[in-house]
Amino acid sequence: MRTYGLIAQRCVVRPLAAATIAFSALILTPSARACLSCGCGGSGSSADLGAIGGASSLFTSGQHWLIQTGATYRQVTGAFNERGTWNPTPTDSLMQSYQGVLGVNYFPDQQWTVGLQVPFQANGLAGASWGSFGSIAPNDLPLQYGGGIGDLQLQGAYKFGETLTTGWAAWSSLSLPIGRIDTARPANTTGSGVAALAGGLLGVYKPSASFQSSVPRDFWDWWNTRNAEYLFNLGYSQALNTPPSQASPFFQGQSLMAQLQANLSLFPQWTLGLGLNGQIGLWSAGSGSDESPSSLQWSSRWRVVPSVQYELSMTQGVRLATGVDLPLLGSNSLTDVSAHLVYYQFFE
Amino acid sequence: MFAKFCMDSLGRLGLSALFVLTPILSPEASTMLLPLRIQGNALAATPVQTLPYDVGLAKAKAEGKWVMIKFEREDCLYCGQMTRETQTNATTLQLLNKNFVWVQVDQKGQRKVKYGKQQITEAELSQRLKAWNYPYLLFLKPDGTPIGGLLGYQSPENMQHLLRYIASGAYETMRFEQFKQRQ
Repeated sequence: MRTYGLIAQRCVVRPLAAATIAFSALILTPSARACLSCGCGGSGSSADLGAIGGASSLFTSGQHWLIQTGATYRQVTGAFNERGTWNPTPTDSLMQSYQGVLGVNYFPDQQWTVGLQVPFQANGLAGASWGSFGSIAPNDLPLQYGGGIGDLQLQGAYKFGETLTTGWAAWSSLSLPIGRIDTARPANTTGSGVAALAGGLLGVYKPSASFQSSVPRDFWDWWNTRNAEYLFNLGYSQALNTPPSQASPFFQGQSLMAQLQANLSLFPQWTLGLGLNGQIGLWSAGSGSDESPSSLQWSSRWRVVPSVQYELSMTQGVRLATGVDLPLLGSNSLTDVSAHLVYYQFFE
Repeated sequence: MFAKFCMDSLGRLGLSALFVLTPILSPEASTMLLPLRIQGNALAATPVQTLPYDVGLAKAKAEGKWVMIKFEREDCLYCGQMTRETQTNATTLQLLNKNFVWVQVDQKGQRKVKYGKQQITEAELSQRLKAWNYPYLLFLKPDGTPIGGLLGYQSPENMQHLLRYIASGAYETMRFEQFKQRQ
């Protein structure tokens, strides 16, 4: 049962922020190469700014520090309703956000990784705002911009069970609600309002590399010797508390996330990636009182993330990725398209 | 630095007393430290010199041998494993000694080598040759022309296939996987 009456404009931004944080943890995850027997290094996979639950944890590259800076542009394209019908964003409306992220990771040894990510976000809204249960709420408001620092994220990962061609990493992250909540002016909202804990398991499979001829005889000779890697990531996010009903009567309490990723190294410096990310979450609403009955709604969405990565040197590179939410097999969820540009640099 | 790594690794295995140091070609030449307890034919277990890039290329040109460059790092787990398991294999050593000049490059190394007319560090050489991952084997013709490379740990058996693949010239007519299947 839904409780639309309780979900006022002033509170509808929070679930989006919470969901975005949880989901982006997997959306932006890895590209590039695992530190398995088939070649250590290849700092590339750390080019993502997602959770360290990404392949980052497997790519220490023999260095102790990793600095990452990234920029993201995101535009809401539509939303699924509870019946799974997808509707585009209303004509003449605008819902977009820009995000810059600074990330620092430390690798005390070959197994452990800890990190911190600080996001800065700006939003632009016109004629619509974030609605309840991942919906779009049309309005008559003119274009407004706002933003600020987002929720900090602490990360940790432990790599284990490494064999010649496979590897595993257990990862976790803690999101701290540093970001602002502005119910009067949604564009200013940059935080979820709740602390959230996430954890998961990442597996990497990297087949043995092929001998790559300096002068391939033909296309197939070249193509058949390209090196690939495959990643599987499964994570779960749980909010640690419930925001006051006055401020936000609902938030996305938990979310199950899955990711499949394939990367293909075309040339020594170029890596193409294709990811499929999925999320199944649970919106919870209301305080449970008579005036504010509680309600739960499932949400889901699927996302395709093609990427290309260029390694500038052994320790630095850039990655460009786009994310597109598929307008099918979803429910109670916003969809968007996004573009991500990340620069990474390892240090001793 | 790599020699130190080898010493440390093998020393932990209690083999350090069995090492042999081979003659040094130049003041900068390093030498692969090989345990006497080598798998296979002990008679073939002649230690293999590992040379700096420029010295190795000159030697290969003079002797008409192929060049195998191994890029590695001190903190690379599988580089060490290759050193212990593959590069101490008698058959592998026999193939290497007969047909190849073995160049070893530390990807973080500061040892200077001659590259063209320049003096650059081994770290810079790795960058120039785009050998960014490790362990990485790069093969050159005797005149220095690149043939191709293979990334990652190589078992003794695979290493032998690889050396035969290069030395036989089969790389000109078939892929490495095809060559292995025919062996």
